[in-house]
Amino acid sequence: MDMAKKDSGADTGIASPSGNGSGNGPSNGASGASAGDGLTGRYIVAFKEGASTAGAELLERKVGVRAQSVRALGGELERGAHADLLLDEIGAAVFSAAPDQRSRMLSVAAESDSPILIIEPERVVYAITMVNALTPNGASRAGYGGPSPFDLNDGALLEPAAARAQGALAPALSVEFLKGYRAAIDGLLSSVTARAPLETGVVSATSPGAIWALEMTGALASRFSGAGIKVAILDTGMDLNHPDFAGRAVVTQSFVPGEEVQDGHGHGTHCIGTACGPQRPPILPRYGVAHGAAIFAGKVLSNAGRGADGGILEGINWAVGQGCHVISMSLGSPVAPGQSFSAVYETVARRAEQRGTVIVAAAGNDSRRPGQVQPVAHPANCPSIVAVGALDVSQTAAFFSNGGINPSGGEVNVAAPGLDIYSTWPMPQRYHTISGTSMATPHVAGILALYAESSGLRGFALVNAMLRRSRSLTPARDFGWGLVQAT
Amino acid sequence: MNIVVTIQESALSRLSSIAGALRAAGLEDATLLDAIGVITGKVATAAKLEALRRVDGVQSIELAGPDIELPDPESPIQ
Repeated sequence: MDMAKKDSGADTGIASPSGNGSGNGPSNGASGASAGDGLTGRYIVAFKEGASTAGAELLERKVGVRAQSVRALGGELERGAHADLLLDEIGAAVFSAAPDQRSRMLSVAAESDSPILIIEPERVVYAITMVNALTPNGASRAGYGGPSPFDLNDGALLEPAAARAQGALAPALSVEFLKGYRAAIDGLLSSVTARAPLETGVVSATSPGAIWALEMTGALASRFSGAGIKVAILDTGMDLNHPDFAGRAVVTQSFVPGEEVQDGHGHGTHCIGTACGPQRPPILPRYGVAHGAAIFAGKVLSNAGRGADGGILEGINWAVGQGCHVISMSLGSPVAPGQSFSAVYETVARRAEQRGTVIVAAAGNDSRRPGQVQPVAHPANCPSIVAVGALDVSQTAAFFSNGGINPSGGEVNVAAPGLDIYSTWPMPQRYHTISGTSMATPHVAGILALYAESSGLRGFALVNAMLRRSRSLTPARDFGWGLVQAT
Repeated sequence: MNIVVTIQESALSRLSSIAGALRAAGLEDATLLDAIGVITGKVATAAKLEALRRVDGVQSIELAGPDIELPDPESPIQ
């Protein structure tokens, strides 16, 4: 990104965070269960009744976990082996998952109709002598002495010393115990899923009517809506029949030869939901930022998700010609270390800015942190285009989020929520939770619309005002100015 | 070959006549993007590019970039 030139006082480029240019903050490892803290680093999954086979198949297909059926193994399972196992009789599975598999797992579990009931990190349980514990009401219960994370009963167990005095038996992992374990999971789950099924991991803990991303970015607290502001989303189009957008001002145009704007992929509908979704959607939680902005849905990517360079340029041209204040582009292609930005897109972005249109684009998902950080993708790597990185609910860089490896425009400018983002999807599915810098980008676009309404600023002045209000996170390589803030 | 012709800032007001000159020099399927000062189109051979570059008002000519592709809709990372 260019340093903002101060001679005339006008914003002639996208500003760089001062002092943070080459900051090396503490590196943020990918989130995930790891051995230690009482966890084994593995996961336990309970499936819905009768859904074990579908669940195991889903784990393999979507997460890459191959759980071997214990029933099928018969007597051949080696005790103590840390194999990935499907526990057929009780409808559960135990397996190891790498950090990148974890988020896929959470997405799969969060989908409506998911065969997965619950996922928990596997806890270390220490063998304590088996006791016949008496609960306060006198009922007898066999099990491990000591507290269980799934213990929903009020019953206090006998202290281990007292248990030993009673001539305790050796511990055994019985089917009885595991059935009780699953009953506890069922109970726990029904207590958290009395609400809509998608909320686990998606909804804000403190404002359950909205997704965490809206709270964390301050969009929820903003009194602005983007009223009077035009936001263009150049993507796979939009589901024009989606009930959440009934009565909303939407202008559309397709730049994909042979295809209508109607979204046959989903990506475009999801991004539009994030950028401009309603303040009070018919089904909670709320997921959208600029609920009052005028939506310009330009289809530059086909229903197969493919976009020609020419079509993308046509979409940008259209949005600028329509007077859009913000263009959101959740699209791009990988760039190699040392590779420079596109002169055409940089020229186009500068000309758009001069006409009051700013362009925001996804930094790209080519990285696999912590080992591999790839450069910011084209066209986000242009100095005059805002490059958006993705972070998760703990404000850690998403494992796939690209970083500012290349100079001169190749920096990440700002970061926004991009892991497990719930938004609209074409009917009949209606909503979907997915991850990507594609999801982070429309959060920034929506917030720019809020600032455009509240401040009257346009172009680089608008962008820099937004950047300066970001909540600083380090390293700048991954977060730029930091976490975008609407207020 | 798909190409992208960037027109000089100073020549943007003459976009239509420049497009005419480009067509005469071999540009096919020209699309005028007047809000951003770019003309996209095709040429039959690389040899035509030199003639196009000499048209007054042309800043640069580049080959169109490769298609951009999203992951399939089932993918949890988009």
